[in-house]
Amino acid sequence: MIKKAIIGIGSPFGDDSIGWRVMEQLRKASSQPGTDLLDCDRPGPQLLNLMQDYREVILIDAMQSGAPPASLREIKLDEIAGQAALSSHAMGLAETLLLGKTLDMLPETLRIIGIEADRRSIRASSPDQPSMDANPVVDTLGKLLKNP
Amino acid sequence: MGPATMNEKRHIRIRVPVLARVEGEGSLKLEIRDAAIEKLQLSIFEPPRYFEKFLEGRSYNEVIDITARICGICPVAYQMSAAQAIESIFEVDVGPWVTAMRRVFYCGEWIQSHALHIHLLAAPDFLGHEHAISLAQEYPEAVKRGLKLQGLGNDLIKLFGGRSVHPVGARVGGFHHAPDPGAVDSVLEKLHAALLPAAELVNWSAGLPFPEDHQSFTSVALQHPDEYGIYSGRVISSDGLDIAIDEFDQHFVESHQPHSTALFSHLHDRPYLVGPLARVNINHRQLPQTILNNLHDTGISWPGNNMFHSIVARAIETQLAIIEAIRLLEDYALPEQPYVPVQPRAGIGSGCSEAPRGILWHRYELDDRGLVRNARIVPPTSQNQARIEQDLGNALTAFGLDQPAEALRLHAEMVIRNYDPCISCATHFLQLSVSHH
Repeated sequence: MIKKAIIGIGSPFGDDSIGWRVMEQLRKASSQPGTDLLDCDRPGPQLLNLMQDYREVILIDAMQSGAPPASLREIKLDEIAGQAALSSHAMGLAETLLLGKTLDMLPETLRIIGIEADRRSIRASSPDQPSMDANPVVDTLGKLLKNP
Repeated sequence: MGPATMNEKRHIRIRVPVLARVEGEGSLKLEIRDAAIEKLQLSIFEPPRYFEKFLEGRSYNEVIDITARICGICPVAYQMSAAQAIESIFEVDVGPWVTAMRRVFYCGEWIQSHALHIHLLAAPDFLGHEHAISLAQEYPEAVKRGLKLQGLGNDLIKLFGGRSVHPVGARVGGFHHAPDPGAVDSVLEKLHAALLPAAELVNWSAGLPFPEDHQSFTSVALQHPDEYGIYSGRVISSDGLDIAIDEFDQHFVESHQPHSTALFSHLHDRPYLVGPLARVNINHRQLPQTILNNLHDTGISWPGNNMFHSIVARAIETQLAIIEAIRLLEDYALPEQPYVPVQPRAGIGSGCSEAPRGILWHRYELDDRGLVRNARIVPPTSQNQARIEQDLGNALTAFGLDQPAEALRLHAEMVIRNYDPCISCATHFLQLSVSHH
């Protein structure tokens, strides 16, 4: 039974499409045997439900932190959960993970990888003509995932 | 949230620039002068949706997928109303298997949408919490139960749709693929396991502390002779209206109000209510006996006129949807074909089904190749706009206009959240001219 999943968060049509495109490349490369590669259109309760079947999950999401575009960073759960905006209705990734933590619903091992989105050309991009090449991101991701 | 200014407690201006815990974006302007409401405007300021215009020139095949994108929370409803309208133009009878499976598909959406609203959006209000996360700290089992039900709803949708957000499985004439019997068995097991939690959810929601707020309004819902109205029926009102869906626009009239980009809808010049409370009001006699027995003990009677009981109506419908899905899937068998072939022809037709938030009416005019010449889509949330404004006026006056501004603001938000407004769907224009080059 498969216990490990990599979940790309983001829609193919949004500003955060890099997550979706990285998952596409991972699938093509078939570089993750024994691991389910899943898409989750948006964070929220469905992401928590999706993670229920797995012991180990890696979440991949676009971020805007001011880092150079396409750079990757592993983010600690406490760091992101600490950013949850409790006065808003939004169930972004921070709120979703904090809810999951509160309910003790998160997988045994959870890693969160943020990929810096290229803000300048986001509006000009589309699934057919992406602003950012997913391949170098996938290479860096592969190296990062090999180091637990 | 904006500040409130008070002038000797005689003139209060409250602005809630961004409503919390609703889908999409809406705001409220309220002005009270000399203990009376001077101005009350619910404004919806999502960018207007040009879907009705986008659809012009598109093929009937594309309509199902395009309309599903109007709403991320209720794509099934959009697909079903659109399919019905197109099938009525093509004079297609989809047959019993497709009709039954569409009802199951719809049950999935009701369960998913209602469970999300009850636990993450509405319940915090009744239990003194600002957000589902702090609610989860105090009531972890209830919130977990809600998330599990939401997941079950999504699993049902995925049976047919391939994926639960913007499901792609539906098509004119039926579905692209029939669910595999093994997959159906697996979901049936989860449905059975959910029966008890769903009954407990009704009891739990009925026991919440509700404001006493009784109002007078007209309920409107689909009614079907053989089953609780979800997928099809006649349009019925609590005032005696009983019409076929293609007479809808002879009685329900949309108009544009300057303060909102969404259209307002009136039935014979008056506001009206659609959605779970309206449905239970009109169709409660058709609820399964198990639910009716359970309801008797809750002490809440139907029909009802306290909008705060909407959360109970959603819980009732969640339980109903589970029971219905079991009933329809219990003897599941693969059909010869999951869809009926169609031949495009010219004509005008309507489709109407009960989205989680209320009736969703579509009307299309197609040419002889099945291309859209004209489209009209009336979502439930725009239909409720006038009622929400009327409700706010009554509810805030009853609550006490001399209450502190913060309390008024919270009460106004709770009133609006009773309607589970899905504001992203609720904007469309009556008239727009587009030039093609």
